[in-house]
Amino acid sequence: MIKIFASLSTNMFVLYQIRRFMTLFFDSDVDHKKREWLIYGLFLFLMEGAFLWFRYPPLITLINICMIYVATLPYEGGRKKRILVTLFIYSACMVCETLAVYLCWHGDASEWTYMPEVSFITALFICICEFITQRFLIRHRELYDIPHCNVLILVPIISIGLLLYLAMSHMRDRNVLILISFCMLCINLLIFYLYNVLMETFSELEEKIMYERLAAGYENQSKVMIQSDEKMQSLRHDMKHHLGELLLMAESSGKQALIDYIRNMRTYLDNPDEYISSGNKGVDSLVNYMLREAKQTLKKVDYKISIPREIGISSFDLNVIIGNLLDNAIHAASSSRGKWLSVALNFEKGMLFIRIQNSYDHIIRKQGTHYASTRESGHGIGLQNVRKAVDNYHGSMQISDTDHIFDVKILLYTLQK
Amino acid sequence: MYHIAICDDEKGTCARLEDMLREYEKKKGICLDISVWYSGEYLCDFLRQGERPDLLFLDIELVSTDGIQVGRYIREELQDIDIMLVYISSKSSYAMNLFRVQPLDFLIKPIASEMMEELMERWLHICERKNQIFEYSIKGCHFRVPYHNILYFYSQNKKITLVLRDEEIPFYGKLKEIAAVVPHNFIMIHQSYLINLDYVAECSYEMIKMMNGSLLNISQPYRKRVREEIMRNKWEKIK
Repeated sequence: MIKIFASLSTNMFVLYQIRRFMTLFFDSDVDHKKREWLIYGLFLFLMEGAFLWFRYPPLITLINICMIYVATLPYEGGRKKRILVTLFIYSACMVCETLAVYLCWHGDASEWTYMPEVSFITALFICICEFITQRFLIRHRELYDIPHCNVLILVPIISIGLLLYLAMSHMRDRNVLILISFCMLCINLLIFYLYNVLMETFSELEEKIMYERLAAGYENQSKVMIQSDEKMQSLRHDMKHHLGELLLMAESSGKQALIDYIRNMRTYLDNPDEYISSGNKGVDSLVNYMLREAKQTLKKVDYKISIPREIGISSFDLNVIIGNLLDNAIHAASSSRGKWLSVALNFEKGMLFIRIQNSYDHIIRKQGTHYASTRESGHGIGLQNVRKAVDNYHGSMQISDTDHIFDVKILLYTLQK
Repeated sequence: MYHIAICDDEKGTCARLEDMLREYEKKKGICLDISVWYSGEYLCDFLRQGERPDLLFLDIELVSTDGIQVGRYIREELQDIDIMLVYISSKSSYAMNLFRVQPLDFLIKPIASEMMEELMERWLHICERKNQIFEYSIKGCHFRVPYHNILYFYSQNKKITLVLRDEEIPFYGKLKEIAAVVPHNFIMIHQSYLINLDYVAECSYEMIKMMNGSLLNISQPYRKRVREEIMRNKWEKIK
């Protein structure tokens, strides 16, 4: 009875630590609290069941891995990431347990008798690991499906395999066993660190791309403005001459010649690179730059923009949202047969509505109802950044794809309470 | 018959707009009464006499009384929230003040006929929706009120209050039952508030300001749904 109580209490504590581990990798905002409780309840039941009825290590390992995976389900994220996190957490827990077993063990390993102190020490180790990881190793709690996942995943798999082999073999040198498990623990903690570094590097890379786009946008905009200005100045310079010409035409030649002349003057004034001039510098520079690119590669580019000069959304966030989405849309449309892009931005009742549509031919990568990336080859960090920026304004993003048209709709609230 | 007014100091633009509207009228088999104004002052005089066009194309850069002032005059002084405003301008840069009068859209000169057609489709869709009728009964007597007169409904105990532009009518009923039959521009923002999105002046994630000035709270469980409904309404209109 005491044994059951001891194992129950330590298992509960371990589950609590596993949940804390989860929040290091996933956004802790869970919509289905009830489901989460149910999963952990089932997990506890299975752990106890495994402890009471079958003490066969590979089976226990399998149950635990499956249950940790199930416990990742209430959080938002891709399948690859879930598998990676599951293996990370399990290998860390397993290393802690193995280390605890070897530290307390004096007799024969194959007997598998229950020692309450092992459970306590395991729980303590897991707690320490979680603390170290949370405090020093992982600072980047993102929703990303991380790149190079396949390579990273090998480390916990190898550790779990090795520990299983150790548990099943009849090695008796306690010191070697302790050393091996301790080293495995260090490796597993280091892999958390590596994960974090990888995450940071990729975020920085993404940020760099964004700043480059921002800079290119501003450069393009300043060129557009200089061009417009030059045209205006030269027209003003020639105004006297033009007026004379117009007067002459009005007096002598027909109406058509007059119309043609005025049309020519207007065409001269139009700046082909200036698609929009909403007065909102951030949006103008970005959209003009992106649309110029779009016009070069696409057959049909539609745009309609009616926004005020100042909107309560930072140009950084607008750049993340519009820049990433337009980038993806232009990319997808240019390799499609339709080669069509449509951009609509409008402001209404304190809300900014954005809609970007494009033709596409490639297969879209989806995870359930969740779009991994709007590009056929992309890590999806761009789209996740867009989601994050949209969340900053309590906004919403809806993505759909029908009849070879990809359609992204966004609502952003520009007013605070 | 719909009354459409055009106000622009450039006679050419007015003529072109009128032509496009006439063409649309023929194509759709509808009847339009079009009046044209070349200055903001004259238009305001016309409105002051109680005339109310259904749709008004208004140039932003009018001489003396400009489009912003006319818009404000309509919304603030005349307290009219029914006239649909469409701003026309040769520039695509807009001041925030323009958005405060809740224009239906902005058109850039020279006006493209596809743009105009898309706008008219959207406007007609709204007009058709407006003509639907809400029926309720008080003490066995049946009453009818067009939906476009209703700003919102709110319920308290078992009583529902119908908030119109200038009066409030209490009657007995269940808000959930009403919510099931109203047009899709009516949305629940709270268990006791059912509002008409057409009369929303400003909207944040937590609050809605109606055109009559009332501030309504969007309750926590309704916020995400309200957001989805706004998006659905927005893009169903554009379609």
